[in-house]
Amino acid sequence: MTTIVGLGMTRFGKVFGVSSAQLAATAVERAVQDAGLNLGQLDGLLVSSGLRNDVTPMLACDLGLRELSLVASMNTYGATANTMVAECARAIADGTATTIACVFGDTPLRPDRRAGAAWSARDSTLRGYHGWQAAGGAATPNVLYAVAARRHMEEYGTTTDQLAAIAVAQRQWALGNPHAQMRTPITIEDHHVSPWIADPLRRLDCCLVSNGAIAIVVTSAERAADLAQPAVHVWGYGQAHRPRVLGRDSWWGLETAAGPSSRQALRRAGLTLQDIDLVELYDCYTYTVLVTLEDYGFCAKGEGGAFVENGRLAPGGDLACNTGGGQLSGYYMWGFTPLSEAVIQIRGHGGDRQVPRHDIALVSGNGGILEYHSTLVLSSEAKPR
Amino acid sequence: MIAVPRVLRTPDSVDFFDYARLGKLLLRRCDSCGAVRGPQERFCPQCHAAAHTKTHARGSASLVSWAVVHRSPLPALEEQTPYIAGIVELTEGPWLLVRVLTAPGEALRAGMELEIWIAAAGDGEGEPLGLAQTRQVSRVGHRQARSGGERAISGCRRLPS
Repeated sequence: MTTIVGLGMTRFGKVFGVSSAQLAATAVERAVQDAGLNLGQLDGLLVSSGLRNDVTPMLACDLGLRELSLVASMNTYGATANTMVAECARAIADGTATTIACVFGDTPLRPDRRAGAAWSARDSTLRGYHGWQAAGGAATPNVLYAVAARRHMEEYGTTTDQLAAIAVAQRQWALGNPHAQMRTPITIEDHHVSPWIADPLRRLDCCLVSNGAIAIVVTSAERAADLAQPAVHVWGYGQAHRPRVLGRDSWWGLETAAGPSSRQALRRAGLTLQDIDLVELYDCYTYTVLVTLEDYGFCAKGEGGAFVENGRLAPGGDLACNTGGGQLSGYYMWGFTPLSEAVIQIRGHGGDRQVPRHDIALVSGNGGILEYHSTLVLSSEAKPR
Repeated sequence: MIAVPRVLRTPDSVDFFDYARLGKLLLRRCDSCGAVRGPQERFCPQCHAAAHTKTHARGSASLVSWAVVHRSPLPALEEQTPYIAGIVELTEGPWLLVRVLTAPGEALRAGMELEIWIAAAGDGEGEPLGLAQTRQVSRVGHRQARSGGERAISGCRRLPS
């Protein structure tokens, strides 16, 4: 039985003058302290890099770790945080390691350029057939997620106001999160006048870009019992991936691998969707939340738009979703954004944004262009044997 | 005029660009099951066999989905914004990510019929670009008639069928 016992976060956003690796080291140090442990008690380290690709297994040297039985760099793109936790579960169960730190760090923002430039392609990098396709102008996630969202709109009648409802709900949650980068309330009308990035996506449909780092410490339930924080137990994990199929009959853009991933995680947990108190969904774009809710089965395929209307995901709504503001309004730390918020909520440390029922959380990770997916089921209670 | 970002050929795309310079869009037909796949796919997505015979697209397609790009990810296309990029399904089955041209005032919808063109850069340098355009564009020209970008398309050729 695997348990998350430590959480460490740096400041997020325009954090300059410090490298990704330095931020990652700070996050690990804080996560270990948070757990009531010291760095010397770690025997495993899993690292995940974002755009800068500069958090490596050499972080173990920076942290002064002398002897480890598990070290790896992992990359399932935006699905990595949850696949790391699953790897920890296996490593702890088979005795490979006992106490593992998992960390994500990135510094895509620079003082001298706009945030969007962090993800832009440079013409000089266009090579081969993929470069030839990118030269048509659909070179980045912004454009491809817009193409995916449009496909859903054309097929099911999903509207821009329904996407806006997700952005507005998450901003409401962010108001109660001291870590959030965006803490000014927004309305559907604000979404209407938000600049187009790639129509049908406006700026308020897109995630933030953040410098920063987050780490967690994972150990066994037995060890967790003696530690400093309320334990967050891993009841289930799953992953499923559908690399982009570019051809006739492809469901790309309309349906993702979130379905099989969540069914795996719920089956391991011995639970159903009705048992879930809150969901923390990977939200690189508003549309990602909508399609994940459908694929997880919170509503039927094609009905995600109607499902998110009328404040259902907002504070006080029927489904507590992305309760820290997510990556749209909180901070963009790949899968560590939803995972960190789930840990905070399950512990009951959510402050102004704490949800009343927080015993069982469903956490998603999504990578590529809706291609890679991972899911966790976390609980405040130890899993019955 | 349409700007053309420069694309460099790579060892694994030589046959694709050789076809493109002849005004053809390379496709691969599986020797084992007959399924037609895109030029980038080494293995058949249906039966996973590698052996294949080269063929080329006939040049007709339908629109799967699209975005109107206002913030271009590519510096060479910044002057062209807003432009349309999308996914089209060739009649043969494979999808293309491609620039989509519309006529002035023309609205797009999923399933719309499109024609695929291969366009050479105006200065003759670099590799040709692929374009999808509506039938109306073929009749009246496209809405983006102004010049822009450093390099412009000159010879637009419909794929030979």
